[in-house]
Amino acid sequence: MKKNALYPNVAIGQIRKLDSIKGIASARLVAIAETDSSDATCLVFLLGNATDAATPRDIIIPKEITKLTYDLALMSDYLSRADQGRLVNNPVLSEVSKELIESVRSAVIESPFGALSIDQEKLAVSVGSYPAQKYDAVWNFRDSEAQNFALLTFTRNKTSIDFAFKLYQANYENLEAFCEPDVPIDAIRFRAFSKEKIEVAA
Amino acid sequence: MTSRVTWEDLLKEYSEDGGPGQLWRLEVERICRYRIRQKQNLMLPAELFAFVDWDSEDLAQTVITERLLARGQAQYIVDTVDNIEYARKLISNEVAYTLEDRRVPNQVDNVWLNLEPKLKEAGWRNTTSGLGGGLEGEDAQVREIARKILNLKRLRNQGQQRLSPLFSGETLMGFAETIVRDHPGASAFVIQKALRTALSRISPRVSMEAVGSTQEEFGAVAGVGALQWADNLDASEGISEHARRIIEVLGAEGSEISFLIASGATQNEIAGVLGVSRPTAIKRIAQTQELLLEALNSLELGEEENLKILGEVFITLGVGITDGVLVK
Repeated sequence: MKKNALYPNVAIGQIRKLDSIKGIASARLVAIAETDSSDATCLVFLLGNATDAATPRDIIIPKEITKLTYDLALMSDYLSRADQGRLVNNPVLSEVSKELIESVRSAVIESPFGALSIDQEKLAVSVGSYPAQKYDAVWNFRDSEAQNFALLTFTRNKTSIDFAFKLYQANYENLEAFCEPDVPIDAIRFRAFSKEKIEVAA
Repeated sequence: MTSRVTWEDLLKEYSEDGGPGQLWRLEVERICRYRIRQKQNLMLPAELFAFVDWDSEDLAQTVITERLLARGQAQYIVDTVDNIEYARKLISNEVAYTLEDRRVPNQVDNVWLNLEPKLKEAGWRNTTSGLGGGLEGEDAQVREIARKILNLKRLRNQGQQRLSPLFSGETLMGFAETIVRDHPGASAFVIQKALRTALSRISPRVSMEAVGSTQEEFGAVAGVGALQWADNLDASEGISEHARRIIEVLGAEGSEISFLIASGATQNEIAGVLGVSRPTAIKRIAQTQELLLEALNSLELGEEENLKILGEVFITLGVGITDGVLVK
């Protein structure tokens, strides 16, 4: 893992590249919406450059905010979980305010259909336009973006063995994390096994 | 000619030159050639896109200056992409946007051309003076008008071969009267800006690349259709020529029907677009399918070639094939 000023820990508001999965899904830029250190994952919004094709569910973040050379479209409906490990090797390209991220998250819940209702003036962003036609290529484009994003990310299941293992890995050096009441029993077992192995080896 | 440019080559050139260089230009030009061939197959003149003639170098130069450099899209590609297929898809979208931006008239122009006479009829006069509220006031007015446009009842899709009027004459008249009543000082510039805010400039004919596809899917597209992303965009010249002839045989209505069927439109929708009854539409659909079959059989090629040609026909019409399945 790279560690310097360009590659800080994952934090809310950062814009980073989410690594591709070879042969399965292409890399995309994402905005971090929430981090969880317990299993080293985070919630991310999908970003894209198709601002001309942005719909009223997309927030167009102008380059003046991000200080990048291009505008970005934040697709508010595409929020999912990714491993921090697939972000930390890529530099932080830019940052947006936590306020913007929070506004988008609450707007998505408050208005699940139709245009997003956010304070565009205060946040200095805009929302997209409606595609002109039923058979507009935009729909197919969005469909493919959703499929790719679904492959890049995952839904966390806290009762799964996978979550237990990730929690164990992420907190190997942090014994206190295993004392929380909602820690899966499997995570504690992994920890116990590994400790026994160390003792035997010693 | 087979291209073996890798993403690493493009990336290296970008970082050494501080921007897109010769290799980038060649890639853009190759994709422009393909897009131009599609437009030529549809018999669309270059003048429609504000070019003197179809010249891939001219188009490539426009894409590089207006999109890759001026809008920073080259940097976006560098920041996001990690393989050549994905880069080509993104560049291809930039070419599509460039063409659509230059299209005369575009979707907004189309609505404006229908709206302007109605506005005049309702007593509207174009003003060039300020709005009193400065830029801020203008923006607020644009947003308010845009909201009203979004609430207007739309017409059904009028097909992919032409721009839809989007709104009926009656709806536009009602909207014109609202403008005169609620925004008497709104200039043509403000109303056009509101139209642009409310409506995507993308018409149904623009085919954006499904950049979310996996590498295997790129291969599938290359194998069945004629895009040949994974290898060579130039290799499909012969297929493209056959496809052009088939589209000619189908004619405007046949192409429209083929596009709609491939897009999953219902018989009723096709009837609506053609402006005929459902039984007549069913008859025309059958005729089109017969024409298509005859045209393919007359080529006397193998099944594999026929499939490639059919793929090219649909791609030219704005429909694609992935994994043997038609996708719009």
